[in-house]
Amino acid sequence: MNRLLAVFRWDLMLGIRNRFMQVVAIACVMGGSALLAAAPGRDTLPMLLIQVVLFFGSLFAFLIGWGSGQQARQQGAFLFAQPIGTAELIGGKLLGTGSWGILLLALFMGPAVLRAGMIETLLPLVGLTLGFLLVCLLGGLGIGLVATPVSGLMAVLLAWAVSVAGWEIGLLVLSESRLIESTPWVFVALLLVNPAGAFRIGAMIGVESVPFDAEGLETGRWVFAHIGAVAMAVFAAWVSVLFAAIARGVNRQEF
Amino acid sequence: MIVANGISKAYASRAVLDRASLELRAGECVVLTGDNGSGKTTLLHVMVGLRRPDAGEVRWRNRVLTGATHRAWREARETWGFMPQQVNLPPTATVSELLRLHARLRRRDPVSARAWLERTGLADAESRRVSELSGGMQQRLGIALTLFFEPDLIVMDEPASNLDPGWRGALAEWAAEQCRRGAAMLVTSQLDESWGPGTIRRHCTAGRIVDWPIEPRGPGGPAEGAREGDRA
Repeated sequence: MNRLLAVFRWDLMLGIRNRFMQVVAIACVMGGSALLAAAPGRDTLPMLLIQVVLFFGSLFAFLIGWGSGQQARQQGAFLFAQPIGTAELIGGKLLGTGSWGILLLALFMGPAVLRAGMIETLLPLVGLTLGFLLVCLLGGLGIGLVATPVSGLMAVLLAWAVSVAGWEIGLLVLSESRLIESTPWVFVALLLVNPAGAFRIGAMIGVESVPFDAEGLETGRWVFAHIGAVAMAVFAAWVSVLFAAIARGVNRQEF
Repeated sequence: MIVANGISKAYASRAVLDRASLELRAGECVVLTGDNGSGKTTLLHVMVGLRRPDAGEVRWRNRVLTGATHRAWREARETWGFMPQQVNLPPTATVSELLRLHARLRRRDPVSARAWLERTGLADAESRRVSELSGGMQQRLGIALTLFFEPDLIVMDEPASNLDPGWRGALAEWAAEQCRRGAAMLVTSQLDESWGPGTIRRHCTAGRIVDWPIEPRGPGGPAEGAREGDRA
C-alpha cells in the first residue's frame, strides 16, 4: 500500500508540472465557461456536456493515461527494477492520473454545476462520467505502458475512434442483418458493451428520462429502468479486464 | 549469492549470449568488461529479471528465479540495487523528490538516504531539477539512489561513464566499501578503468564469460576466444 501511495503521489506531482496538463486545465475552465455561455437554453446544456465528455473528455482521458504510461516506460529499467508490484504500479498511476482527471472534470463542469438549478440535473451524470473516463484513462495507460511512443499514440487514437464512433457505425451496418432483426437484445447488448455506448445511453436516458415502449422486450425494459447501474457494471467489467490485461502486458515486458 | 548459469539469449536471429555463466559471492566485486554489443548489458538485465533468457537459469540464494512468479522477483529485488546504463530520471523532478520517492519505494528513512547526497556531492543540488543537472551529476544521483539503502546485491551498468576521474576514484572506493560490508557487486566497465585491488575481472566475448587475463587482440582490444571462465 505504501508503494502504491508513493507512485500515486509521484504521478500527481509530475502531473502538476506537466505542460500538457496545465494547458488542458486552462482549456477545461475556458471550455466549461464557453459551453455555459453558448448553450441555447438550460435544457440543452446537459446534452451538450454529454457530447463534450463523450468526444473530448474521452480523448483527453486516453491521452493523459497514455502520457503517464509513456513516462514510466521512459524510466524503463531503473523503474521496473524497483521492488514495485505490477498492481501497485498500475493502481498508483491510475490514482494519480485519475485525480488529475477528476480535477479537470471539476474545472470543466464546475461553471455549469454551480449555475443555479443545474446541480440536480447534472449530479446523476457525475458517476457515469467518472466511470466512463476511468475506462478511457486505463485504456490509455495500458497502451502507454506497453507500446512504443508512435505506435502507442496511433493505438490510442484508434481505440478512441472505435469507441466513440467506429463501434456504433459497425453496429448500424450490422443492424440490417436478419440475426439482429430477430434478436434485438443482441443489438442492445452490443451497444452497451462499448463503454462509450453505455455512457451515451445511460447519460441521455438519465437526463431525459425516456420511457421504454418496445412491446415484448421485458429485458430491454429492465435494462432501461436500471440503465445507470447497467452502465456502471459495464465500466466495472472493463476496468477489471483492462487492469488484468495491462498487468499481464507489463509483466511480459522486457527492458 | 547469485548465479547465472548457462544463459543464452538471442534477439531475432542474432545470438547475444551463448551459455554465459557468472557467479557472485557475498563480498565479491566483479567487474565485467567487453566490447560494445558483446552482451554485457543483456546479461545484467537477465540477472535482474528485466529480460527473460532463452535458456539457462538465474539463482538467488539457492532459489531459482528464472520462470518464477513476479512476486518472487519482487521479493529478491527488495535487497537489490540496480542501475542501468541510461538512468533516464524524469527531467521535471527535483533531486530531493527523487530521493523521497526511492526512500518510500525502499521503505527507508529519507533522512538517512540524504547522507548519500552528501557523499555524491549533490547536497547543494537538492532543490534542482534533473533537467538542470549535468550528465555526471545525473549519473552520481543514479548511484546514490542505487546504493543508499545498502543492498545485498548491487548491479551497475557502466556506472563510471560520464564521471570525471575524481568521481571515478570515489566510485571505486564506494564499491570496495560495499563489498567490505558483505554486498556482492557486479559492474560493467571499460577495459582501462581501474577498480582497485580485490576486484575480480571477467570478460564478455562472443556471448560467453571468460576469465582474465585475456589475450590482446591488438591496440586497445581484447581477443575473441580467450579461455573459458566457467566457475559454476
